[in-house]
Amino acid sequence: MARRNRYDMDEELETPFNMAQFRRMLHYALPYKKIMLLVLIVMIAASALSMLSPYLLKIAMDTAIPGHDVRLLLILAAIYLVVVLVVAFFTSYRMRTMNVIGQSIIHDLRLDMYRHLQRLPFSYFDSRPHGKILVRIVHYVNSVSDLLSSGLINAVVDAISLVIILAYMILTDAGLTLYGLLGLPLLVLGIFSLKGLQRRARRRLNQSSSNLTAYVQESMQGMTITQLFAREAENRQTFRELGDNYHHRWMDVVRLDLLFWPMTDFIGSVTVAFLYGLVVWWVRSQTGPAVPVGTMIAFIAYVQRFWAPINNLANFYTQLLNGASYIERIFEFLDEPLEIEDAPGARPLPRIDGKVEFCDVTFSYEPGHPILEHLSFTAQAGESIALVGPTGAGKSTVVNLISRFYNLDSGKILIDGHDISQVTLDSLRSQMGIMLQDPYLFPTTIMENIRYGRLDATDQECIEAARAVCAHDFIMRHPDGYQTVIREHGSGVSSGERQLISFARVMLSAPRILILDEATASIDTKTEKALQLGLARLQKGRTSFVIAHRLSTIRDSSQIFYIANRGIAERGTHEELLKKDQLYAALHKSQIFAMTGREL
Amino acid sequence: MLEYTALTGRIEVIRVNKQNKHTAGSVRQVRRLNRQENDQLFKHSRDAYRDALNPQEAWRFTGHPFRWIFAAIHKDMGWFVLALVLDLIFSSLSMIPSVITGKIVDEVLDQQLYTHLVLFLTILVVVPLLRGSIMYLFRNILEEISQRAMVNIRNALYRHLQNMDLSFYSDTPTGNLMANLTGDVDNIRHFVAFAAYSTLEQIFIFVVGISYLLYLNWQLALSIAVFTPVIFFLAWRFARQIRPRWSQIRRSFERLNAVVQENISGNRVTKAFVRKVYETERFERENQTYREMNNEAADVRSRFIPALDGMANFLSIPIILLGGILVIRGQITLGELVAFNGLIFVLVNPTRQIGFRIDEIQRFSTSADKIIDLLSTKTRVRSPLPPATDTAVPEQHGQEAALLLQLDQAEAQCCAIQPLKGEVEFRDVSFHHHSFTRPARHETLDHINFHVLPGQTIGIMGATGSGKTSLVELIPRLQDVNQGQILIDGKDVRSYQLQALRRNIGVVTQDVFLFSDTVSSNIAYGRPDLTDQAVHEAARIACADGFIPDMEEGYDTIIGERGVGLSGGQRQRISLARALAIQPAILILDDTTSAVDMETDQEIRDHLARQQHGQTVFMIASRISSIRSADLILVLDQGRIVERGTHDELLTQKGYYYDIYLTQMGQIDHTLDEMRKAGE
Repeated sequence: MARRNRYDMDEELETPFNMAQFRRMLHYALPYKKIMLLVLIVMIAASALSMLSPYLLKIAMDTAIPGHDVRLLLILAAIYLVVVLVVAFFTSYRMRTMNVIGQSIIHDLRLDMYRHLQRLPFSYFDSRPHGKILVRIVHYVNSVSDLLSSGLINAVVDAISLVIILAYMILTDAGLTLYGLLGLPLLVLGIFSLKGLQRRARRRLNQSSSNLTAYVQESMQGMTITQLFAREAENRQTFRELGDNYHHRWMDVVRLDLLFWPMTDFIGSVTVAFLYGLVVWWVRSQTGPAVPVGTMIAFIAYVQRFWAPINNLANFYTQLLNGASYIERIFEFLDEPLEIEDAPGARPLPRIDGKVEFCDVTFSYEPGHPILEHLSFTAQAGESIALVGPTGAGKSTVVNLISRFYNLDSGKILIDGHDISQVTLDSLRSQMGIMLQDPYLFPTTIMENIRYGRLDATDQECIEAARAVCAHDFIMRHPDGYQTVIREHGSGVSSGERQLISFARVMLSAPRILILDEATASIDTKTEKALQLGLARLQKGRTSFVIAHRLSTIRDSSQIFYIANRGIAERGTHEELLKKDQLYAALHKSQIFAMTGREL
Repeated sequence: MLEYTALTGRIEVIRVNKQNKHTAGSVRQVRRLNRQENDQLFKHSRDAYRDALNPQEAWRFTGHPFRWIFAAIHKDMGWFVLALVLDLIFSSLSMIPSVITGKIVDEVLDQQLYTHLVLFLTILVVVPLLRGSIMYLFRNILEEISQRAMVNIRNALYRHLQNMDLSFYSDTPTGNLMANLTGDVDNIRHFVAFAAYSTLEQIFIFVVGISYLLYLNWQLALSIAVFTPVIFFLAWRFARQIRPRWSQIRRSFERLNAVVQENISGNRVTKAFVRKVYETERFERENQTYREMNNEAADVRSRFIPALDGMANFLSIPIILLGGILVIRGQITLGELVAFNGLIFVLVNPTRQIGFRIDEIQRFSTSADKIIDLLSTKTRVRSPLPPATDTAVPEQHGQEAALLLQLDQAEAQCCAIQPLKGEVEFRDVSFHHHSFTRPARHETLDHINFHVLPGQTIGIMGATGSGKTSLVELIPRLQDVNQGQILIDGKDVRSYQLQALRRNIGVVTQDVFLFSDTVSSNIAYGRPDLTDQAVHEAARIACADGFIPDMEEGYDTIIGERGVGLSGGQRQRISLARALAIQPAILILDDTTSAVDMETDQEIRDHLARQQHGQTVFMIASRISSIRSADLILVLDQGRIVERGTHDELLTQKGYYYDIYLTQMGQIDHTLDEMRKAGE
């Protein structure tokens, strides 16, 4: 089992960039490749067009104005107007299209992850905070989508922009081009030396932030316990420390982030100042080529536009590295082994009578520590089987194996002679009715919770199911009756009521095999007595497995298994086991003693 | 204090009202009332600004998000103003390079005044250096102030939430509180760190830039100024149209989040009922809605942003055309045209951004209002007197961190354990669940009277929903009585310091919640300084010492949320050990051993009996065996005590208890017969 996770345990997000995974990610963009190509062409065109404006200004200043050519000015203005309109139109198209693609990628990826989630085994859910599963499906996906859609395209466009700007520079004044690029190596060096620091700082900030969030979430959920144990001050201290830590990590990031703009601005300004100096020196000393004013202004405009794509590319690089860790998490999730899957060529299990056979079953949660060894038994259709024995002996495990919530190490389980590992999971589980001690109810109305047992059931059918398990009277005691909303903190609906509602839910699903895992533990005896009637009705004609501590639920069972020492230590009917006068009888005696205070 | 109570009631109505719309008007009503009352106060006293983060005083800021945030950063106000001044210097410097470029063109290139060049080039190099440093400085100051504000607000909120009572938590989904503590607080941070200065800066640049252009050449400036209202209008329309889209996206995201969360929490149920397809459809609906909402927002953006950018680029047309003509006519110089061209770009940005700023400021005030409302929401359960420091240290106000620390110390002192004996008396206690969404039709507890001496054990029985849990929840004041009183050691529970009271009461709740921490930290939850030995001892009494050492890392094994990974019985026993570890005078066991097998249950009871040093025990159970030996057994039915007495007394009454006894004994009698027969 995976090591469990605590709020302050960092999820390591440091991963080298992995090309194979990135390529796998690109698969999600593949369906849109044609349209993405179109967007790319449009964007390159838009970029080339928008770079035209300094050039137009150059013509105006160098040719039209000195030549007093108003007609040329008008033509230039007209060209410019067209350029502005076309660029606006292209940009609008690009924004809409890229968003649709990006959102579609998120949608597809998330759906794949959710589908996968539906098939993961219990052990996956049991071994980590639920918040951390949630974050993968809901939040990480968002972080990656930008990278895939706009990020990727922007990077390509930025790279091409650099070439276009360079072309314009050469077109404007080839002689100045080399000098204009003098600052470039310095800038690249500066950016990349800062980027490494920035990435590390950001990672620490992200960890700090997720720790804080995890802690707040748990604090809010466990607030009543905190109050009961007067633990407020300690928790406040922890919270304060986490908050201060976040504050410091944030400032670390800010101090680096804020350096980029002044750095680029300064290098750019020095280059510009240098160019002015150079041009003036050329003019004055009559040594260099003559550079008209308009040419110089336009050229400097291009030099200034050169920095933005470089900065963007550097950002994309960071985004790529950050994204790599998210991509890693996402694929790690999608690669999470299902463990329990339909066997190749699995057939649906036909409607069953309910004969259950365990043939030499061995099972362990952790290799080398078997919970059950060589377990064999047969439950005939319609029988009720009670499982008793000390806590942790494996009673729940036995019933979980029948629904194939876990795979066996060895041996076979047959239902009506069908090996359950060879039938489809859906057909198997849909014939089981499972009730747990701590049933999960959805945060919706009681009616909807009952209906979960059979989605097409009418209100009337839901109410009948509730009546059958004696839940109706309790439900009606709430002012809103069946419309009472179950709340996450569960005040107002007691544990016993929750169990009754889950009973109604199972009742409605009309299963072939019933499994009650300590399902009546929180129900009081008087209700349980009434419930017995409903239960008897439910059990009639169905095979049932009952784990319970109370004699009432056990006594009339067709067979009682005493589970201990990795197997069935004793089996038989109530009477037979009492006669045997060993484990079960001893259990019994202790209960009688507890009830009456009398030794037998 | 009076207005406060009135406010409290309404604020809670508002909070609940988000689902029940029928009293929606009252937010504004309450805010208006408060504003009227408080305007006087704020006019006359600067003291009123001190307590933005004090829940006792926060109500004064209802409907005044700006007053509130400035009060909250009161201590850093000097730095804040300094940062704003630096920002204005920075903005002024930003306009210089364009002017210098114009001058180079005119004076150096045209008039060939080469001596000026060195000066101009120096300015071109020094200005960026200067403005870069200033920007770095003031942004850092603002970030620091905003982080401090965020930390203080969050700490105050967290502290406040720790004082809220059970009914608050039953009515407020965790998700909402998470949103307050993360999203809302972050909107406030963003306002302090960015939106506030940026708005000011953009207005400043706009005004100064336009003035300078007018000074250079009014015709050209006007021809450009004509377009700015259009840009401004577009930006404003954009902000208005995009805002509802953002909130739609947020809501849609919340729903998506909720569906996934429910699915994860209910994974056992969805698997057991094979609801894969149904669950996927449910998810897919939200998944698609989320996509559509995003696309709608993108639609709005793709209509406005290119238009705004286009308008900004459009401004170059008058420069080329009109500017060109003006130069040809000799009305302006080429250099002035260059300066104009450069300044346009400095100017355009603020106009384009103004829509976003409007949006951010709106978001800030919504979030701040929510935080103020939350801080003003009163808990129903609180200590009788505020800790002494609340009134005693006025000079500490404003220094929230120091104040809070001091409050902690005061609390720690007053809550040092004052051992109680454990005598409990209920005097005519009536109680109904307080909820605005579900008006109570009947009392949850109806005129309850009983008296327990220290060291006695009380058994409580009754049907599901009869009020057993509510009854015991009143003792540690998770809820307060509506009528009557509860006395412990002869004093009303409401007269004890809340924490001091609770440190004497060990509660094992029906619904076990364990923290994702090690087993031993969970057991030592109420006494973090507990020795290992004491932890093991508590585990031993709770019969948890059998399975804990078998876990992967024994007592150091980390257990998950809700104790995932442990069986029900194991969780209950860890939770019992946690309650025993504080050695309480009063122990409350709410159906604590329902998932534990009978033998272990018996063993636990033996252990408890042996270690009980005068401990008063309340035990809710459905098994007769669990409460048979209690000194007093109460049978509840629909909130009333219908039977009371010892086991033997109740049997003679032949009522409900007797019925249960017969039911549970029935099988045993039967069994006894069988065993006798078997023995013969």
